[in-house]
Amino acid sequence: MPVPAGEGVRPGEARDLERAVRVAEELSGLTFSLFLGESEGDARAFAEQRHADLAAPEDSVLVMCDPEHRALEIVTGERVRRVLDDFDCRLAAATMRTSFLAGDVVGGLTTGIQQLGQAARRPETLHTGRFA
Amino acid sequence: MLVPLDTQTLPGWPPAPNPSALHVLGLLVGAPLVVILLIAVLTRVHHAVKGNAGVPGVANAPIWVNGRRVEPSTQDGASRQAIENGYHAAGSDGTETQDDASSSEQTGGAGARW
Repeated sequence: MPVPAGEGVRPGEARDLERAVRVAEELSGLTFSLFLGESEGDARAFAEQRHADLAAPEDSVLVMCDPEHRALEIVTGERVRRVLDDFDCRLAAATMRTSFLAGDVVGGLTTGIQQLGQAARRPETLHTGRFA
Repeated sequence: MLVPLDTQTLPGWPPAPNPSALHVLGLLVGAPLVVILLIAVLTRVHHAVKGNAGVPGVANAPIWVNGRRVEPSTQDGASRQAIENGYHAAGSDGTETQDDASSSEQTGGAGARW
Protein backbone atom coordinates (compact mmCIF):
# COMPACT_ATOMS: atom_id res chain seq x y z
CA MET A 1 0.00 0.00 0.00
CA PRO A 2 1.47 3.38 -0.93
CA VAL A 3 2.64 5.61 1.88
CA PRO A 4 1.18 9.10 1.68
CA ALA A 5 3.41 12.01 2.44
CA GLY A 6 3.95 12.57 6.12
CA GLU A 7 3.16 9.06 7.28
CA GLY A 8 5.47 6.34 8.49
CA VAL A 9 7.11 3.63 6.47
CA ARG A 10 6.30 0.01 7.10
CA PRO A 11 9.13 -2.47 7.62
CA GLY A 12 8.45 -4.12 4.27
CA GLU A 13 8.72 -0.80 2.50
CA ALA A 14 11.95 0.01 4.30
CA ARG A 15 13.33 -3.24 2.92
CA ASP A 16 12.22 -2.18 -0.56
CA LEU A 17 14.18 1.05 -0.16
CA GLU A 18 17.28 -0.81 1.00
CA ARG A 19 16.97 -3.13 -1.96
CA ALA A 20 16.68 -0.19 -4.36
CA VAL A 21 19.82 1.36 -2.90
CA ARG A 22 21.67 -1.93 -3.19
CA VAL A 23 20.61 -2.41 -6.82
CA ALA A 24 21.63 1.15 -7.70
CA GLU A 25 25.03 0.59 -6.12
CA GLU A 26 25.54 -2.66 -8.01
CA LEU A 27 24.56 -1.00 -11.27
CA SER A 28 26.73 2.06 -10.91
CA GLY A 29 29.54 1.13 -8.57
CA LEU A 30 28.81 4.28 -6.61
CA THR A 31 27.72 4.62 -3.01
CA PHE A 32 24.09 5.56 -2.61
CA SER A 33 22.58 6.85 0.60
CA LEU A 34 19.01 7.64 1.39
CA PHE A 35 17.65 9.88 4.09
CA LEU A 36 13.90 9.79 4.53
CA GLY A 37 12.76 12.06 7.31
CA GLU A 38 12.30 15.60 8.43
CA SER A 39 15.02 18.05 7.53
CA GLU A 40 16.10 20.95 9.68
CA GLY A 41 16.26 24.41 8.22
CA ASP A 42 16.98 24.75 4.53
CA ALA A 43 16.48 21.39 2.83
CA ARG A 44 19.39 21.76 0.40
CA ALA A 45 21.80 22.84 3.11
CA PHE A 46 20.63 20.02 5.32
CA ALA A 47 21.11 17.50 2.51
CA GLU A 48 24.58 18.80 1.71
CA GLN A 49 25.48 18.58 5.37
CA ARG A 50 24.30 14.96 5.55
CA HIS A 51 26.21 14.25 2.34
CA ALA A 52 29.37 15.81 3.75
CA ASP A 53 29.03 13.59 6.83
CA LEU A 54 29.18 10.42 4.75
CA ALA A 55 32.29 8.28 4.79
CA ALA A 56 33.29 9.10 1.19
CA PRO A 57 31.21 12.07 0.06
CA GLU A 58 33.06 12.58 -3.22
CA ASP A 59 32.00 9.08 -4.34
CA SER A 60 28.51 9.18 -2.86
CA VAL A 61 25.03 10.08 -3.95
CA LEU A 62 22.61 11.19 -1.29
CA VAL A 63 18.88 11.22 -1.85
CA MET A 64 17.08 13.16 0.83
CA CYS A 65 13.30 13.17 1.01
CA ASP A 66 11.36 15.18 3.54
CA PRO A 67 7.68 14.24 3.20
CA GLU A 68 6.76 16.64 5.98
CA HIS A 69 8.01 19.68 4.06
CA ARG A 70 7.53 18.02 0.66
CA ALA A 71 11.16 18.50 -0.25
CA LEU A 72 13.43 16.27 -2.28
CA GLU A 73 17.16 16.81 -2.70
CA ILE A 74 19.73 14.77 -4.60
CA VAL A 75 23.34 15.55 -3.73
CA THR A 76 26.19 14.11 -5.78
CA GLY A 77 29.86 14.15 -4.86
CA GLU A 78 32.64 15.70 -6.86
CA ARG A 79 33.73 12.48 -8.56
CA VAL A 80 30.18 11.21 -8.94
CA ARG A 81 29.36 14.20 -11.13
CA ARG A 82 31.56 12.77 -13.86
CA VAL A 83 29.21 9.82 -14.36
CA LEU A 84 25.98 11.25 -13.00
CA ASP A 85 25.40 14.82 -14.08
CA ASP A 86 22.81 17.25 -12.84
CA PHE A 87 20.56 16.63 -15.82
CA ASP A 88 20.21 12.96 -14.88
CA CYS A 89 19.48 14.02 -11.33
CA ARG A 90 16.79 16.40 -12.50
CA LEU A 91 15.19 13.63 -14.55
CA ALA A 92 15.16 11.29 -11.57
CA ALA A 93 13.80 14.08 -9.36
CA ALA A 94 10.98 14.65 -11.83
CA THR A 95 10.16 10.94 -11.80
CA MET A 96 10.10 10.86 -8.04
CA ARG A 97 8.05 14.02 -7.83
CA THR A 98 5.36 12.46 -10.03
CA SER A 99 5.00 9.56 -7.62
CA PHE A 100 5.12 11.85 -4.61
CA LEU A 101 2.27 13.88 -6.03
CA ALA A 102 0.29 10.66 -6.32
CA GLY A 103 0.99 10.02 -2.64
CA ASP A 104 3.47 7.20 -3.14
CA VAL A 105 6.69 8.29 -1.41
CA VAL A 106 8.31 4.87 -1.12
CA GLY A 107 7.46 3.91 -4.69
CA GLY A 108 8.82 7.20 -5.99
CA LEU A 109 12.06 6.83 -4.07
CA THR A 110 12.49 3.23 -5.20
CA THR A 111 11.99 4.15 -8.84
CA GLY A 112 14.10 7.29 -8.64
CA ILE A 113 17.05 5.64 -6.94
CA GLN A 114 17.09 2.84 -9.48
CA GLN A 115 16.88 5.43 -12.24
CA LEU A 116 19.91 7.19 -10.80
CA GLY A 117 21.75 3.89 -10.68
CA GLN A 118 20.89 3.18 -14.28
CA ALA A 119 21.96 6.65 -15.36
CA ALA A 120 25.30 6.32 -13.60
CA ARG A 121 25.97 2.88 -15.02
CA ARG A 122 29.24 2.89 -16.91
CA PRO A 123 29.01 1.25 -20.31
CA GLU A 124 31.27 -1.75 -20.70
CA THR A 125 34.11 -1.01 -23.06
CA LEU A 126 36.08 -3.90 -24.41
CA HIS A 127 39.14 -1.98 -25.46
CA THR A 128 39.90 -0.33 -22.13
CA GLY A 129 41.85 -2.43 -19.73
CA ARG A 130 42.71 -5.17 -22.18
CA PHE A 131 45.83 -3.64 -23.61
CA ALA A 132 46.60 -1.25 -20.85
CA MET B 1 -50.13 -22.33 4.52
CA LEU B 2 -51.49 -18.94 5.45
CA VAL B 3 -51.23 -17.93 9.08
CA PRO B 4 -53.43 -15.12 10.32
CA LEU B 5 -51.41 -12.28 11.83
CA ASP B 6 -53.57 -11.83 14.89
CA THR B 7 -52.64 -15.28 16.22
CA GLN B 8 -49.60 -15.60 18.41
CA THR B 9 -48.61 -19.11 17.41
CA LEU B 10 -49.50 -21.61 14.76
CA PRO B 11 -52.78 -23.45 15.10
CA GLY B 12 -52.43 -26.31 17.52
CA TRP B 13 -49.35 -24.87 19.21
CA PRO B 14 -49.41 -23.83 22.84
CA PRO B 15 -49.69 -20.09 23.43
CA ALA B 16 -46.32 -18.35 23.63
CA PRO B 17 -45.55 -16.72 27.01
CA ASN B 18 -44.99 -12.96 27.02
CA PRO B 19 -41.29 -12.20 27.68
CA SER B 20 -40.51 -9.99 30.62
CA ALA B 21 -38.91 -6.56 30.22
CA LEU B 22 -35.64 -7.99 31.50
CA HIS B 23 -35.66 -10.62 28.81
CA VAL B 24 -36.32 -8.06 26.09
CA LEU B 25 -33.56 -5.83 27.41
CA GLY B 26 -31.12 -8.68 27.54
CA LEU B 27 -31.93 -9.74 24.03
CA LEU B 28 -31.80 -6.28 22.43
CA VAL B 29 -28.96 -4.72 24.44
CA GLY B 30 -27.11 -7.41 26.34
CA ALA B 31 -26.54 -9.82 23.47
CA PRO B 32 -25.10 -7.18 21.07
CA LEU B 33 -22.86 -5.93 23.87
CA VAL B 34 -21.55 -9.41 24.47
CA VAL B 35 -20.81 -9.82 20.76
CA ILE B 36 -19.04 -6.43 20.59
CA LEU B 37 -16.92 -7.23 23.64
CA LEU B 38 -16.04 -10.61 22.20
CA ILE B 39 -14.85 -9.05 18.94
CA ALA B 40 -12.84 -6.40 20.83
CA VAL B 41 -11.14 -9.05 22.96
CA LEU B 42 -10.36 -11.17 19.91
CA THR B 43 -8.85 -8.15 18.13
CA ARG B 44 -6.65 -7.30 21.10
CA VAL B 45 -5.49 -10.88 21.41
CA HIS B 46 -4.71 -10.96 17.70
CA HIS B 47 -2.58 -7.81 17.93
CA ALA B 48 -0.83 -9.11 21.01
CA VAL B 49 0.03 -12.36 19.27
CA LYS B 50 0.99 -10.84 15.94
CA GLY B 51 2.93 -7.97 17.49
CA ASN B 52 2.90 -4.66 15.64
CA ALA B 53 2.39 -6.15 12.23
CA GLY B 54 -0.28 -3.67 11.26
CA VAL B 55 1.34 -0.62 12.80
CA PRO B 56 3.96 1.40 11.00
CA GLY B 57 7.24 0.30 12.53
CA VAL B 58 9.19 3.47 11.97
CA ALA B 59 6.45 6.04 11.95
CA ASN B 60 7.86 9.56 11.75
CA ALA B 61 11.38 8.31 12.50
CA PRO B 62 14.07 9.20 9.97
CA ILE B 63 15.20 6.34 7.78
CA TRP B 64 18.87 6.18 6.88
CA VAL B 65 20.10 3.75 4.28
CA ASN B 66 23.90 3.75 4.00
CA GLY B 67 24.26 6.81 6.12
CA ARG B 68 24.69 8.11 9.59
CA ARG B 69 21.83 8.35 11.98
CA VAL B 70 20.68 11.88 12.69
CA GLU B 71 20.08 12.67 16.31
CA PRO B 72 18.56 16.14 16.40
CA SER B 73 18.46 16.19 20.18
CA THR B 74 22.20 15.55 20.43
CA GLN B 75 23.27 18.05 17.79
CA ASP B 76 24.97 20.99 19.31
CA GLY B 77 23.69 24.46 18.72
CA ALA B 78 26.60 25.52 16.50
CA SER B 79 26.10 22.65 14.06
CA ARG B 80 22.39 23.23 13.97
CA GLN B 81 22.92 26.92 13.31
CA ALA B 82 25.46 26.06 10.61
CA ILE B 83 22.93 23.87 8.85
CA GLU B 84 20.30 26.56 9.01
CA ASN B 85 22.69 29.13 7.64
CA GLY B 86 23.69 26.86 4.80
CA TYR B 87 27.22 26.40 6.01
CA HIS B 88 29.17 23.23 6.31
CA ALA B 89 29.82 21.66 9.65
CA ALA B 90 31.21 24.01 12.17
CA GLY B 91 34.33 22.94 14.01
CA SER B 92 34.38 22.11 17.63
CA ASP B 93 35.29 25.68 18.44
CA GLY B 94 32.36 26.92 16.40
CA THR B 95 34.43 28.19 13.48
CA GLU B 96 33.10 27.69 9.99
CA THR B 97 35.24 25.32 7.99
CA GLN B 98 33.73 25.72 4.55
CA ASP B 99 31.23 28.07 3.09
CA ASP B 100 28.19 27.25 1.03
CA ALA B 101 29.50 28.63 -2.23
CA SER B 102 32.51 26.33 -2.39
CA SER B 103 30.35 23.43 -1.24
CA SER B 104 27.88 23.95 -4.06
CA GLU B 105 30.74 24.04 -6.53
CA GLN B 106 31.94 20.64 -5.39
CA THR B 107 28.60 18.93 -5.13
CA GLY B 108 25.95 18.53 -7.76
CA GLY B 109 22.48 17.12 -7.95
CA ALA B 110 18.97 18.43 -8.15
CA GLY B 111 16.02 19.27 -5.98
CA ALA B 112 12.28 19.23 -6.26
CA ARG B 113 9.24 20.28 -4.27
CA TRP B 114 5.77 18.86 -4.52
